[in-house]
Amino acid sequence: MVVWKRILLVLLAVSGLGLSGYPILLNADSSNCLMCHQKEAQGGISHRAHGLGPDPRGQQDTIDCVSCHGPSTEHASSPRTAPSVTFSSVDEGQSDATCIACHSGSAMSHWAFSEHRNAEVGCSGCHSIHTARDPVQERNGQFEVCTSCHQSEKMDQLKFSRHPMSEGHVQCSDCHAPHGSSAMNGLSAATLNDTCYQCHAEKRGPFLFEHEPVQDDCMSCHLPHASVNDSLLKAREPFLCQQCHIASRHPGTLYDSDRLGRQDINIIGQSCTNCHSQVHGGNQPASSSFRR
Amino acid sequence: MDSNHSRGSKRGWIAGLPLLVISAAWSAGPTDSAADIRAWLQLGGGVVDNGNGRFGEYSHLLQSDRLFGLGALGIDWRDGADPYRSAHLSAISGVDQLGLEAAFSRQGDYRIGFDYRRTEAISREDVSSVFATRGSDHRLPSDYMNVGTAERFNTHAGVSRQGAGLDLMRQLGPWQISASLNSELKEGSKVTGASERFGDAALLLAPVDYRHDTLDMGLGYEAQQWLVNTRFYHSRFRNDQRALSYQNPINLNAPVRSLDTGPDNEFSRFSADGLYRLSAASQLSFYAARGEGRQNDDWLQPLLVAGQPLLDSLDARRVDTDLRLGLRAQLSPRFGYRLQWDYRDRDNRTDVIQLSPTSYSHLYDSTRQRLSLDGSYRLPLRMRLRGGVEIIQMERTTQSLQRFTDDADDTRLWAQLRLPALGRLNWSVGVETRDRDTDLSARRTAALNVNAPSQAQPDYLLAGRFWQYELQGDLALTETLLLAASYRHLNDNVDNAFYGLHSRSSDEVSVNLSWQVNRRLALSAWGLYQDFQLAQDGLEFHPSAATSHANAPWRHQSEDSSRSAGLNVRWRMTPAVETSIDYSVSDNDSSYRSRWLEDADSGESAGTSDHLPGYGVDVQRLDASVKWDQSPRTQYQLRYLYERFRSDDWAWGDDTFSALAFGWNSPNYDAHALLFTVKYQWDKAR
Repeated sequence: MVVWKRILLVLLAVSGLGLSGYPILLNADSSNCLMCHQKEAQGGISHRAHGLGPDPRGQQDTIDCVSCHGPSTEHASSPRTAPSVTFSSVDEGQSDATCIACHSGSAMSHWAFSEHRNAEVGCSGCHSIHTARDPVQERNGQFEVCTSCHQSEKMDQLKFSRHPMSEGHVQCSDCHAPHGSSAMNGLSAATLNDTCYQCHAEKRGPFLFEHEPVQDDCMSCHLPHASVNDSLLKAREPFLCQQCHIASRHPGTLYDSDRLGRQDINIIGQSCTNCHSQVHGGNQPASSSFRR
Repeated sequence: MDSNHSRGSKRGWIAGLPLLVISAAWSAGPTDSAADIRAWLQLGGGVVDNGNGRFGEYSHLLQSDRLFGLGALGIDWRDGADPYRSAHLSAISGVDQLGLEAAFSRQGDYRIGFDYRRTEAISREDVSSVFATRGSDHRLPSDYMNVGTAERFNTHAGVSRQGAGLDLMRQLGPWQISASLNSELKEGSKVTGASERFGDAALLLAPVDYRHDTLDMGLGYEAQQWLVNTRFYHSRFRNDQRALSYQNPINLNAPVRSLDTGPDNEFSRFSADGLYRLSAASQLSFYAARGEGRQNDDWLQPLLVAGQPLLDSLDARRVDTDLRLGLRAQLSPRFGYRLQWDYRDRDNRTDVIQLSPTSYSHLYDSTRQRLSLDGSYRLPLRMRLRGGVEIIQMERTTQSLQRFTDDADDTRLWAQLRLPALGRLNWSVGVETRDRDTDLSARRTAALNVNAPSQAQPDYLLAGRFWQYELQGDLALTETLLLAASYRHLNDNVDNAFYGLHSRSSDEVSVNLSWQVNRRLALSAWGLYQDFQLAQDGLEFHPSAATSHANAPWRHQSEDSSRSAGLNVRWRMTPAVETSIDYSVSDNDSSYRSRWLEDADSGESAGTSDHLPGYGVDVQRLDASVKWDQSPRTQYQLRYLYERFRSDDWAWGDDTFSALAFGWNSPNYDAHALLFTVKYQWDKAR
């Protein structure tokens, strides 16, 4: 995990986006810090609340470099010495504690239980503190930050069927709560299905004719990020349906290429859903077999 | 609801809410003339060739062959005297996207924000239909004879989205009040099946006209040691396109049919969550929620099928209850643990209705409990051991002709170990195993255990053992060259005494090489390979048909594989000029292998079958750009985008047209775009 973070830091630093996750500071007079750390000054830290301003909460006189990085007097006299507080690791729980000292409240109430925290990914693993804008909070920047670690999801964007994340139409945080949540897998909604219903409300029901695996778990049939099959399906129809439906009313037919030549509607087009188009449930009598 | 009225009121929303945000910022007023202001304006244009994307439901930004303009502007303002107070306004107009954001806030005090975004329909062009008219009325041309000789009309399928949201937050001492109101409209058309008895199935372009409104309100209280949030969430879904009429092009004798296009629904949930800090290193958390979903039959014309009774009501109602408790404690710098318990009850309050002597509505209840314990222990030499156990009990009840309950118990064990570094190699290993035990109802077992199983057997009711192994490592080859790799293997062996899923496995390998050549040049290359294999058994239950394999078992194997690779280059050629290149290529294939079985247990083959052809998609993408910072304020950018898509698909094509009155021509394309922008930015920092 740390490796991907380093790679991201290198790439973003060179690209000028300036994700400066490594420590900076001098002493209590932060203007002295910026004499050496010019990149942070130019990068826009003064455009953020973290930059050199009074602390309206009254906890400190000002919010400046030493507020986060500590007094770091040795670093001031010997720049090769690390500052008092660094943010490259949360091994000792120190760095996220520094952030949480101010950033507490409801949004962080599940941080201690979060998967990121448990995997030792601290705040600076995702957030850029010294820049005017934080890419992970930008619609078009979040995907790059998240996939610097979650490589499989980066590759998923090259598959046939996918949620349009690389364009920023869907963001990782639309479904996941990176700071933790009470739901499983860090989902932002109470359950997996509730997460999906945030956009696919027409699937919510309740229906008179329910399809059990659909109501049980959307991932019975779909993959959440991308698939080589249409509609994010885990397998292609009719084989996906035949994993559960063996021979109910229909013969349990083995579909092979002989059927293609006969243009069998059980295998071309949308296969089973050519007829059973209401697989997510329905409310009319024909829906008893999930037809329209 | 009248659609035009709906759209008119939506436009009022969009115009009014940013003004509300701006006026709120204006009335608050800057308190210090030494405010920090940062503004930018970006203008430009481009040309695109063949940008019609067919890449999933949504596509890349590029939609057509044309010249287009690009524009973006933004203003960030931060109060000089009070840096916690800020405002933000930005707008973007891209090729297929229009967005507007406005926010005024004082961190930890108040916030008002507005967001609007429109994404154009993603067009799946080269679609053929026999219908001369579309929308909600699919009629055949007057001279229509049959699908084989029909004139084809080119059309497209796609759904555009536009959404607007307003969020408000106010902190009053320990109290926090928040509200969020969102509305999303989906418009367009999608391909859908319209069966009229199974033999005459046709595909249609069903109109999509959905509106989804949500309201989320919260009230929170935070004290020194505890925090509580209460929330109310309401969702209202409206399908403004209630009926679709069509003539069946396969069965010309059939009358024009009227089909519903999906029901409305509403859902409300009250929830409370919070935590109690037992000490600096331990805390309790909880979550409780009750949700209720409703659906009524306003959308549906009463439908009478011969021999079936007219139903008084098609309403449906469901109540969900959630409870969760958690404890986290860091007992020492080396050891910490989490303990969580979840309970979820899904209670269907809809009455079972009878459609015919043997046909009933199908309803579903479930109760789920989960207990998990995991911990982490730091060992010497930077070693770290993480592991846990998770127990899930699930009870699923089907209400239909009969009521029956199936139980499944899952036990999951997992461990991850970060090992001591071997020189410059850091590595870790992980293993996970999950056992599922099921107790199926007599009703389901009886329906399965016959030659012609009439009851489905979902994979979550299959007992079995599931394994996962994982290996990760990174090796610093030099001070500037880093190699990282990971491997993961999953294997599911289900204990299926009947037919259906037999086994499932997957492998995933990723490699990443990153080289910081010097301070100006960085290179990285990545590759990823995924392979999914699945085997399932079936029974050609066909005793009365003249088939050579009546009542013969079969096994089908599917394999989906993906190979992707990419190269990223970042090169700051001069202090003012930077070049970047992102190239990626992906090859995705599926193959299908089937055979008749001599012996279902051993998998011994009784003969071969004619396999389906493979199915594949190849994609290449290139994104190259040059940025020139002419001055600290002025930046020029030239960007080239290329996307190549190749697909072969046995399920869709011109042949489909004659069978389903609908066809999909070649989806292959090469898309190019050249964009040029000038960005001017101005800032006045404190």
